[in-house]
Amino acid sequence: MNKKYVFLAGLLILLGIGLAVLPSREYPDEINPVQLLGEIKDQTRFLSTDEIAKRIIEKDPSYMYVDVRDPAEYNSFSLPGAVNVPLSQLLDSANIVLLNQKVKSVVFFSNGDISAEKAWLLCRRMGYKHQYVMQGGLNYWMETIMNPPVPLASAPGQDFDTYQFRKGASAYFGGGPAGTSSIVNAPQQNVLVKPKKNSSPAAGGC
Amino acid sequence: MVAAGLFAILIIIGLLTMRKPAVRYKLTVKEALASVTSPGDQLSIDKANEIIQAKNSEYLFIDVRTPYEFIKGHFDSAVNIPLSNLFSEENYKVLKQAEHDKKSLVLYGNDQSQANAPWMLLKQIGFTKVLILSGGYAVANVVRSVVADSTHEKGIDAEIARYNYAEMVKGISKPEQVPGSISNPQKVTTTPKPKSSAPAAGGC
Repeated sequence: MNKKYVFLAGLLILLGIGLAVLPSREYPDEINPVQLLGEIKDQTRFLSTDEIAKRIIEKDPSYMYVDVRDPAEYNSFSLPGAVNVPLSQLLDSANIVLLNQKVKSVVFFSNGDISAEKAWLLCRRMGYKHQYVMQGGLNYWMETIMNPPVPLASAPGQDFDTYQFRKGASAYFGGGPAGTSSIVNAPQQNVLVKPKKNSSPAAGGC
Repeated sequence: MVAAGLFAILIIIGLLTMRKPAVRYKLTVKEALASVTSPGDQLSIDKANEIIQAKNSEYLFIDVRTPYEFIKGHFDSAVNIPLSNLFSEENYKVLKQAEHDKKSLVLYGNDQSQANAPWMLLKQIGFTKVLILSGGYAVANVVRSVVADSTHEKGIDAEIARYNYAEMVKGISKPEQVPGSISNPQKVTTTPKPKSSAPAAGGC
């Protein structure tokens, strides 16, 4: 028998044993701190309250809202359809199944955005996909959606559109009646969910 | 035999040149969660002011804002380590040196949420004495200029509910129940999606 084959086989077996005894990683998808810092730098994890309001109104099923506050606070008020995962119980196995979703996007929120961001950062470290934070938390939600400030008369038209939307949204979520504000003149009172642009018909071949 | 030798040499070279990354997690996710939910790492603004005035060298203030903001104003003795360069070689050395000198790091941004993520990162990669300034630089400035009173606490901690949400929502009635509501009752209308695009005109 050729000696070098014996040598090679022995070497490979040794390496194989080495691989087998390597410590298994607790979270196989864990991303390293440098990558995580990169994600922290770009602010894409934040969803605005307007965007979230729109998605709730549209009943977008691909979003899940996770309230990381205590159960007592959750029971007294939360976003419609939100689930409660107190931050201290984030890593319970039942919650992990909920958060590590391949299909749904997870939006964390709390009173501010600090607790929510803590949950986000840990979940991202574990490599979970589609994780977001509601910018400003419920405090900001109250200030923008439930009780939107009236834009200045000199404000750009876009601000008024936003205001209109927020008024409508606040009515949807149980806030004040829409359209009672003095600056609003009648016509544009409904919140219109923009219909998708019709694509032009495909012109045929030849 | 040559092939076997080459093979062995390649593997050995591979093992030797495998470098461990400079920055690695020292805490497991569980430990990290426990350490970031304990309230002990918050440095109050009053305490921070005391430290700055006493020029207490046991603390190193780290400003995570951009250099531009840092130049416009910062705490005395603070070091600027912008968030984006947190792990650059130079900055990492500063952090390590501070740890070596047994200093506590105090991170701050404009508000607390700006310093939150870097604070968590530093804790997870093994720095033990890292504090975060409650509120942040903007709030600290307000507090310093206004006579200190207990009401400012509310503005500092972003995680305190500023409103009674349930009352607030309950207090304002739904539009249907408002008598003499001017507009039509249905406020949110979803226009049906237009029928999807025209049939593709076929080939020849």
